[in-house]
Amino acid sequence: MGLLLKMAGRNLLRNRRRTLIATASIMFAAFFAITMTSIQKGTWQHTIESMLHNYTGYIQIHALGYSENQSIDLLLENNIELIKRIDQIPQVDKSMTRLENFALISAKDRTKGVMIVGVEPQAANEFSGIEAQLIEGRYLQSQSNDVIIGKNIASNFQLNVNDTILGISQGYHGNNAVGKFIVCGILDFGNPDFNSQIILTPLSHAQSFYAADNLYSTIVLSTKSIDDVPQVANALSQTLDSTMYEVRTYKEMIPSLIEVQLLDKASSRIILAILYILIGFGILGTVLMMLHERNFEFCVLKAIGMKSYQLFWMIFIEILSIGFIGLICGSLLAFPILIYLYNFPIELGEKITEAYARFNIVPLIKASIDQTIFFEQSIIIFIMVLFISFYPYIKITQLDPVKGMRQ
Amino acid sequence: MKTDQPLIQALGIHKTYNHSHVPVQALDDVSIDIHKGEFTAIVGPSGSGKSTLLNIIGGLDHASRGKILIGGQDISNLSDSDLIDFRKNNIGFVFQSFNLIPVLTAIENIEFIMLLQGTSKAKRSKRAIELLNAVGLGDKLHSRPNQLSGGQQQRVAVARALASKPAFILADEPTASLDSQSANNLLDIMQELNQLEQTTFIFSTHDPRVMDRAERIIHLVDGNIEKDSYTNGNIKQPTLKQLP
Repeated sequence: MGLLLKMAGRNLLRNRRRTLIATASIMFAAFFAITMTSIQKGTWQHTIESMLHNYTGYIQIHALGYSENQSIDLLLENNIELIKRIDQIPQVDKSMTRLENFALISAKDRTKGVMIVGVEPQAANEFSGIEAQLIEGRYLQSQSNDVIIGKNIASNFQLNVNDTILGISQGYHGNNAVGKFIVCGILDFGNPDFNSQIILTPLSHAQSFYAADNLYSTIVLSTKSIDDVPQVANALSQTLDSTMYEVRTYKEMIPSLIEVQLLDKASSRIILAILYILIGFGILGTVLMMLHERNFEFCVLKAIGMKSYQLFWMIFIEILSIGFIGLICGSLLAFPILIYLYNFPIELGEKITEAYARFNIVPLIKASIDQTIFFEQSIIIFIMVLFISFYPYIKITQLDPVKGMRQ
Repeated sequence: MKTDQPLIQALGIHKTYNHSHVPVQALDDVSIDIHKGEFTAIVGPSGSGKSTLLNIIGGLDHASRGKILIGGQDISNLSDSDLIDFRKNNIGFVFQSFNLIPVLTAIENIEFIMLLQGTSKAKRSKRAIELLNAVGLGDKLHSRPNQLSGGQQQRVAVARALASKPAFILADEPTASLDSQSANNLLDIMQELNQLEQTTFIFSTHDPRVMDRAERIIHLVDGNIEKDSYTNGNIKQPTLKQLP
């Protein structure tokens, strides 16, 4: 094998121009494939993370059956030990509790159905950066009957800061939920549905309103990376009593988003497939050229006693080397650009920013520096080289030394 | 120099090529015996079938009809893979255009055959150096083929052919690409190896210098043996040391 490696290496250096052209074609293809995959993944990751941080979180824990029937009677008891256990999972970044239920609100001469959500003011602000989204008034204070309302509710009801809202709903276990709330701030959630439906109030006040002292409907989690979600969900499923709790990931809660992502991925895969076909033909072209140029040499080697499989190994090493040198060069070329785009994402123009602002997302072109992207490309190039190597193998086994040397 | 049992027996060899769908008879019922230690030249005009006969004896080509026995073993029906093994272990080749591996140095070219045979690194190196010394290229061990003259390349090719300790060496027009001086030097080396080592050489050639040295000349015309004669050969006194 040592001599085969030596011969393969020297053969690559023998026709430097051919090696350079083949390597360059793979290098640029690998560069484009890695860059495209990385930017697509990074941009999607940024978009999804922004959306999830806005309200949903990456994972939610409820009482069993809550996702099917969002009843005020399916609540979780405040359990400090449980929260501690969740926070001890290494990949968990933040956690907070919420009490959510639908209610009718009235102000002036109007009435409307909304969702009154009790949150821990500080934790909710750290999770979603709500305070920065206020367009009027101030943020929530614990132990108050303050509410922050979406901007569409404010305009529908013509409400201002310090105005009063009356709320009525069904409380825990058949209690009547009736209460008065003071508007302390008006918020732009960046999502029209949220702006028309969400009212935030301190958790203690919501618990009092819904007669659900020390109870909440949801534990919301974020993980250190979105890629950690399956692992954390799995850990939670093993930790929590499945007869009492249900664990749901963002993919289960907002499947439409995942469908859009899959659609986008599918279109990118078509482009990548075209790119890979181009790479494949580039390598195949080089291989054909090499087989043609070195036909005589291969015939001599067979004549003096080199077996087809040994000859194939030598060519395979050459093709594989070209593939991997191209891949490494492409990766080295892409890496600094991707590091830059990861640290300094490109902000898109005003119009796109405005469109995305509705969803409280800053539209950015951002790269992912996930090592698996580089690894995946290596595997794909390797498979391609394996596939392309079939042709020289067939040609070598069919070589007739006499005919070849005569030509 | 001859022994009773022939080293090579060609029995009723026929070879027909299809040239543009027209059958061309290259060999027509050729039978010869070659004994160990012979220095034989197969001569004849272009198209007489001498290279074809050499290729069939060397297991590079199959006869349309007939048998080739090497040391009593019939190689006519061996598979391609078995023929490669047979050639590697029993036959040395010297080609008209040298055909050294361009990316390997002189010593590596010689070691290459032994590597294919599975010889250890130490033994390979030792024998390759001895062979290069024997052909007068002890100072060119690490030269690549493109750094050697035609004559030097052909001498490396001879050393390579000897590396595997073959039963015989087939040399197809070995002097055709060489100048007169180089051709004579090469033939001196081959002849001395023949005398010292009992190495069997079979040439296909047009070259009168080769015919002048050969102790047996087989004349082929239109695929038939026209004449098969032994001569005294123009034998020179050996100057080479005995090879290990």
